[in-house]
Amino acid sequence: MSAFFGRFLNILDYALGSLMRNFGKNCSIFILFTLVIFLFASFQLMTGSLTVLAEKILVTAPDITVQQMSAGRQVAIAEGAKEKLAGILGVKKVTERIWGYYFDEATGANYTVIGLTPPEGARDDASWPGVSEGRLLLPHDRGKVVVSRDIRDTLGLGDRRHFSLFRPDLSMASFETVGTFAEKLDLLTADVILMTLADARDLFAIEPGLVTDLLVTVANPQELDTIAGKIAGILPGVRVITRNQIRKTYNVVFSWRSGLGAICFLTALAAFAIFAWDRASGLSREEVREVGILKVLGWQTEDIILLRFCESAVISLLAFLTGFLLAWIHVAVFHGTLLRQVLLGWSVLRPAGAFTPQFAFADLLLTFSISVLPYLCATAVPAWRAAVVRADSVI
Amino acid sequence: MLLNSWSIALLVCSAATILLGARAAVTALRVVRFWDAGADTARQIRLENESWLSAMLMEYGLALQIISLLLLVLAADSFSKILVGAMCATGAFLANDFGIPALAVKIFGLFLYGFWILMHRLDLRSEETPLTRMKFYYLLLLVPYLLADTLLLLAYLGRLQPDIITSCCGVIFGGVSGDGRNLVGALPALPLMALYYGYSGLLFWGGWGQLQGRSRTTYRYLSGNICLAMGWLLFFLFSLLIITAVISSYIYAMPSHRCPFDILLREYHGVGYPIYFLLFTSVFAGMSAGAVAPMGLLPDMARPVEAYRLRAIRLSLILLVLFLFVISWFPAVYLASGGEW
Amino acid sequence: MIIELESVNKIYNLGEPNEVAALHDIDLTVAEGEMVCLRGPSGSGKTTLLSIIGCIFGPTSGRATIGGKRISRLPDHFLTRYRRELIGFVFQHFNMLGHLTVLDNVTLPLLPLGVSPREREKRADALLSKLAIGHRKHFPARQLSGGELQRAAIARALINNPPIVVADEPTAHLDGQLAREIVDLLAGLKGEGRTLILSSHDPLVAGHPRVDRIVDLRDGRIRHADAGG
Repeated sequence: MSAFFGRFLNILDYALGSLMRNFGKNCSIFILFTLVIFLFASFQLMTGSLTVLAEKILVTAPDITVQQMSAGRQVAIAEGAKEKLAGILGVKKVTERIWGYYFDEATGANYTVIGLTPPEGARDDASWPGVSEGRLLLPHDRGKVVVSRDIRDTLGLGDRRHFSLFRPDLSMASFETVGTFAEKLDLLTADVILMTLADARDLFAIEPGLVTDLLVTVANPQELDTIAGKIAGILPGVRVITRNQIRKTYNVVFSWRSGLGAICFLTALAAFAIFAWDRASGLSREEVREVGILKVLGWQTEDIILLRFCESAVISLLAFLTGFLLAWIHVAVFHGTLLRQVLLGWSVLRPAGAFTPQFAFADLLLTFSISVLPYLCATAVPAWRAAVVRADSVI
Repeated sequence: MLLNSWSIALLVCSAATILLGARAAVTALRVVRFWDAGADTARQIRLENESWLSAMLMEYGLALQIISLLLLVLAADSFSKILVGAMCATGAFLANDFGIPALAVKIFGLFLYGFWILMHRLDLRSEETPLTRMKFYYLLLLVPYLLADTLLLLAYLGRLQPDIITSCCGVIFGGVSGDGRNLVGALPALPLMALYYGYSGLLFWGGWGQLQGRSRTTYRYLSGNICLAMGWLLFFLFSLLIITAVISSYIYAMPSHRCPFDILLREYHGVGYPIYFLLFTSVFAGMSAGAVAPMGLLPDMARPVEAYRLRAIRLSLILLVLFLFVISWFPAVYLASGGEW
Repeated sequence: MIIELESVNKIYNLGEPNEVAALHDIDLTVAEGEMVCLRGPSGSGKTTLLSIIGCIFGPTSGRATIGGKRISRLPDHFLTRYRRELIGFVFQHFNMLGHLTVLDNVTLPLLPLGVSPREREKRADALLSKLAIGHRKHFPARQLSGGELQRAAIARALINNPPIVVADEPTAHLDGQLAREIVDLLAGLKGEGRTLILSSHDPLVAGHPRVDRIVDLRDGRIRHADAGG
């Protein structure tokens, strides 16, 4: 056993010496490889971190969202459906919501307008995320809104609190900001203007008795899917979406985007693998002589194979660790600056939230499999070519 | 669901395995046709060189299989978050008809690759290298297995339907057969465990007997070893059942959760790793000890085969005991703290 | 460790259009502790014969044994093992790796055996000081003179304590006094009970008093074998 480890350590030591002797060539491989791994790992870490953040935030999403469909498109739902839903066993509460998009021509930004009636008697509804300044809405507020810092900046409010938006008939609706959403919620609220149901109806000129969604809270989370099924049965033509499905959709989108990123980096990796193979393939006269001498001195073919493997493994593992570490710093400290555009936001408003990369063995293994393994495979045949140099080549 | 980092990583591993396997197969074809041990022809020298390449590629292949098996299980856990009705990796594997077969092929692939490497190493111990042709025929048989592995994986990944909200409806029923978290139904634990321990004892006794006794006839020698190999294979399947149906519930502390995969997760301190490591290594050592016995009848192979057999049987018995200890720990702790079966 | 060759033939590239017959029906026996010199012009087959004796490759046909152990028709990894255990090789071009130190060069054969660094240095020190180049052990090989290199090469050949030493034209790149010193060193190994087979067309080697036998090779055949000295 000790001879086995002794052999491995000796050959590893020789491999390290060999790597240092060809410092320039190995350095170039190391740098390129680190870059490839850095990009992929950054993507993975950002996706992972987004997924976790989304999970945390989506805890606050409604259990079930009910929307009316007509000709495959969403239309307003009658408020009267609320009574039918409230009558289902297991439903705790049904809330009306108006959710729409307001396009601000002046800035080119799309705002998400959410109109909700705050519950009676609540000063700070625990089911809503907090605000960093001011307060949330109160039941009898008119013309009051809560916005994000991004929207304040986009509207150029500065210290001012009042702004106006156009109704469909081009008349102006005035609003006063009473609160600003906390920055950590940017992912969800970066483009949100929260107002009362009445204000939203007024802004979009929606007829009385109609809303865009009904939000259902259930008493027992285990019953979610059952109740969702019942709702679909009671109300014809509605779309019933559970929180699980929203969560999974986010996961799919994030994983789809990260998959897209993986495809792109696969191209880079393929190019790198070809480069690595090419560098490893050519056997210089010196290398042939060296292997021939080792063979004559009693090194076996598998010793040379192990030597070459050690060389490849050291470079790739070092590059892997360095690339992953740099990716970690890139995501945790620099908020994934290089890749934010690909993963976050749309239109003009992009959330500024910080990433907290999750350390998961699974992510390490994934990055390892998509980088180090193909590299080792690419250098397998060149390693063998070196190993089968014959001992008599130096006689 | 091919556009996903996990899927891509799995397919990259598969592609690498196929490439390596194809290159090894080219050598295998040449060897089975032209091998002439001891001949001094240029062709024979080339073939000898190439056989080193095949060995190296098979070793890489084994490493890839181990890693891709792990990847597949972790991927399934990740997929469960986006599949209808899937609560954990079990649900993800049950999401279509190809999940469990893809997993099974990967698992058994480990043993098949490992056995090739063992044959190769035994072959090298003999000056006559009598196993050369045989091992390359075996390699050629592994190629369709490799292809099956990749095709099943592609089919599984390609047919996974992530649960996303479509334009028309949100509520979707079904999707996953079973309840999405249990691989097997509830089985009577006590009789099962009694049977299992009894079987393990039998296996131990069989292995111990092989270490002590010398068979009088070739027939008894061969039949004894083949029985041992089959015994270990059965033990492997039985152990997977036990882990799934009984032990895992104690690890999760949830009688309704019978899943062999989540024990690899961080929430459960990755206890699955030592469990499966001990299981796979003990089964491989035990099975291979029996399976190599017929090779001992070839010229110049008796000593290397016998030396390996004895070492492997010894190792398998030690690992068996350790494995039983580790898996018994969880129900034992539970029972000791006042729980019931 | 008797070396026995019986009807040994060697054809390079057998089965290819560029086949070359290097040895024809060689019969040779070298007794333990004997010092034999192979003599002949370029292309006579000296190096090929040395390579077969030195377990570098096997003969195309015929039988070759060392100490009763067959070294013909063996797989390469067995040949390598025997070469490691039985043979110390000294080359005409020294074949040292210039970028490694003398110590590293000398201990190269010990690396795949799993010998620890301390043990390696201990063994190397003993040999290097015996060969009077201990003071150069940490110098890169490329900084050594021809004579020093060949001494280091001899140390390397002896590091595994082989019973047989094979030297191919050991004085080819050395002049006068240096060549004499090297031949004396090699001949001294005979006194340690080792078997020596050298190839050379240097009369200094063939004419050394400790040479027991000279074997003349011409066109891959043994012409005659004279008593040496």
